[in-house]
Amino acid sequence: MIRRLSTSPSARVSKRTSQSPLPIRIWQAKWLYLALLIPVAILLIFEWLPAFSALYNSLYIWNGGKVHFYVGLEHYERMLSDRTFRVAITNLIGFVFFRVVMQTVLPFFAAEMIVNLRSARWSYWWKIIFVFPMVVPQILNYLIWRFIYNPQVGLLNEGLKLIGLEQYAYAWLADPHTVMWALAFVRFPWLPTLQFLIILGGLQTIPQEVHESAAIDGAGFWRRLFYIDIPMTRRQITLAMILTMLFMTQRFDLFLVMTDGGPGYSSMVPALQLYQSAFHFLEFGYASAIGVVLFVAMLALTIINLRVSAGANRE
Amino acid sequence: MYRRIMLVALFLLVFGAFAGQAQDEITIFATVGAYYPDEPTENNPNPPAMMNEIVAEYEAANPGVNIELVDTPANISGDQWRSTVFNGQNEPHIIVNNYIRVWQEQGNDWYVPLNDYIEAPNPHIPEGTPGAERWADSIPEVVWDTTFHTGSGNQYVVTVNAVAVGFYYNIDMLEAAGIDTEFDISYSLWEDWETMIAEMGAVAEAGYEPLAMSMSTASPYTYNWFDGTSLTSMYIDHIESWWEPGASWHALNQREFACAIQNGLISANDDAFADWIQLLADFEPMWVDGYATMTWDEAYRLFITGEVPFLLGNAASQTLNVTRDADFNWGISYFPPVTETTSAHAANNESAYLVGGFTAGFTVTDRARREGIEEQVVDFLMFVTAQPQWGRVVTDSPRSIPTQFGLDVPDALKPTVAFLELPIRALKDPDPRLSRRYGEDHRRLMQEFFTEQIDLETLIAEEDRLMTREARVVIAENEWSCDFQME
Repeated sequence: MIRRLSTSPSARVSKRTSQSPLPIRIWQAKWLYLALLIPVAILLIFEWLPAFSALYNSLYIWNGGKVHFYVGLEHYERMLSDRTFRVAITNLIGFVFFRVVMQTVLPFFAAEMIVNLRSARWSYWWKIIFVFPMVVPQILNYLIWRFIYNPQVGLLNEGLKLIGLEQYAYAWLADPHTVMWALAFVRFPWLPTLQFLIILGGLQTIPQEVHESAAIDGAGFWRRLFYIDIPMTRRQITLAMILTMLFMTQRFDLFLVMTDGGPGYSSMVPALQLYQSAFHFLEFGYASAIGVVLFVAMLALTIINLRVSAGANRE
Repeated sequence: MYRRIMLVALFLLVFGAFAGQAQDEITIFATVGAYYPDEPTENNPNPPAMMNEIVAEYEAANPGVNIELVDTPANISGDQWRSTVFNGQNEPHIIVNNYIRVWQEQGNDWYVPLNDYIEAPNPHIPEGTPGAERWADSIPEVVWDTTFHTGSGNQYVVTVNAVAVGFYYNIDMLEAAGIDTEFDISYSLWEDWETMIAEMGAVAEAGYEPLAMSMSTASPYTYNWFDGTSLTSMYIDHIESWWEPGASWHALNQREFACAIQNGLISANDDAFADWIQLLADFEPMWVDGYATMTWDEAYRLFITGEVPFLLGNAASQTLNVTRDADFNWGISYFPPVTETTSAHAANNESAYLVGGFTAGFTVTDRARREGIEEQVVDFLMFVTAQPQWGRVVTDSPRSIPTQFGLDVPDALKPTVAFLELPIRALKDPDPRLSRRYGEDHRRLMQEFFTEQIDLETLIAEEDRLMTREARVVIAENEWSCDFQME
């Protein structure tokens, strides 16, 4: 059987190809490489070039037009003493931490629930229910939540009044003490489709035999969860956490639509400050510097996260 | 061989046709702001579309000239849109823009100075009508003064609209609360600022939130209107010394205000400034809950649904909406004057000040120059803004008050025209007063103060730092001298 497979036509071609010099192999696969050139070019032009041009522009005062002159690291110095940036970073850390925890833990439990369902049909329908919100435009979600928080006619305050708790009715988005919590609760119960599918995929790859052995050994739900499911889906959980962290750090549409960073600066985040610096104040250089700092911070956090996760996997 | 000859001939034919077209035809792209013809809808089957007629008339009179009206996208900010189209060199030849944005973007050479054109006759204005011999004469001097960019010494904007703000009030609700709604005092429902606060307080005691307004930076905000008019009241005794020599009453330009800060003529540490903050702080409890992040639309909805008896809005466009939507008796009023009852610094105020005025106008962009069709583009602009054309546009769609001499104001806007007779406030909205950055940061600081995130002392210290920094930046950017105030 082995002998037959190794002498099959495809294996022979593969063997011959792998032995040819590199230029010949490239020439033989020229159409594939040419086809690859198009997406690579698009990636370079629309992703890499703007990213690297941000690094370059962060060293200049640039108003988006003709005013463009070199100032070195002045923007980075300014950032150190910028009160708005400090508040924005503080807000971001709290917001990202809360959302990373929520957007990992809750999708994990949702995926656990589906994996443990005995009925394939129910499992299918639950998956549909969890994935369905993906088709609702994000902006629509924000507008709905904006209405929910409306102090005069919003659903939240009306609900509180209905159950006799009118003393807790607030202007949720206009009060500096409640605004970040209100924003963090947008899209409750935080079941982001992508993270949910990643974790579900991880749980579904755990062999059934492992769960059966654990059950024979008398492991209950919680022991199985902490000693089998979480360790065996660590990679997926890490990926979900990194993605959430990246998405939440880049997020400015939520803050723009709901509060525009107010009242005062109490819901300002760096991505929104970047947008405002560029498009409100035409300070494209400063905006680029904020972008560079965010990029470096995200890269560092991602690397740390991956290393910690890889270390845990080795253990 | 025969096929080759045929192909070459065909190519020349096609190329020649395009080349000929390129030589003979001009296409002018223009935004017209709120006057862009709406598409008919089920609720509004015959929307105003006079602009289409005006364009057709111009095209008929100028063979080879095509006019394309451009609608600016609603889903991105105007700033973002302009940055994109200008940097892509795809901007329309004519853009409706707020003059403060034009000032802000002036260093990019995006706009064509119109100084020479407005001094020339406008051939589309009938003989004997102001502007026929000199285009500038069709529009009052105060309008040109407002939009004139001191830094470059250029006029970039032709402003043919005026807007005023107004307090809309729900007569039925106020009468139920026992408030006198007779509008018998010049331009105001109230005798002075204190009376306004007292009567709004009575409304609050009757169980209503008094005033729907917006201080959100995310949408058009109405807070700025209080800000500028009340600050003017507090510095009424000093403002003349801030003007450039020989000037008469006018809204301070950037240079005058920045120099006043630099020369120490106004400071956040002044007693008048502290009085002004106190005046706004006493007024703030009358504003509807959530004003800090409320949009204009949300504030409007609260008034129309009878939740709130007062609304501060645009007295031109909003009047059309209120007329259409309100199912109660309503009136329109104005800011009261700030008098010595409120502050010793406001002792010489005889009236309230006009808020609004001449904010947006037509600009000609650099594209007209690049394509060598500047004359044609300006000619089209002269045609559209000439009284015979513009009169029809605003009658068809009365969204703002026309500024030109010799034009009748549409009936729908007549109740608000009286506001335009008030003296213009000397200190504008925070953005045009000094800079966009100042406007935004000032508004956020005031929000922090109103929501008790910072105390008065911190507010004054931060304001002082902000005003000083922005004045320095604006003066340095424009290389202005401030000696004139010290003479």
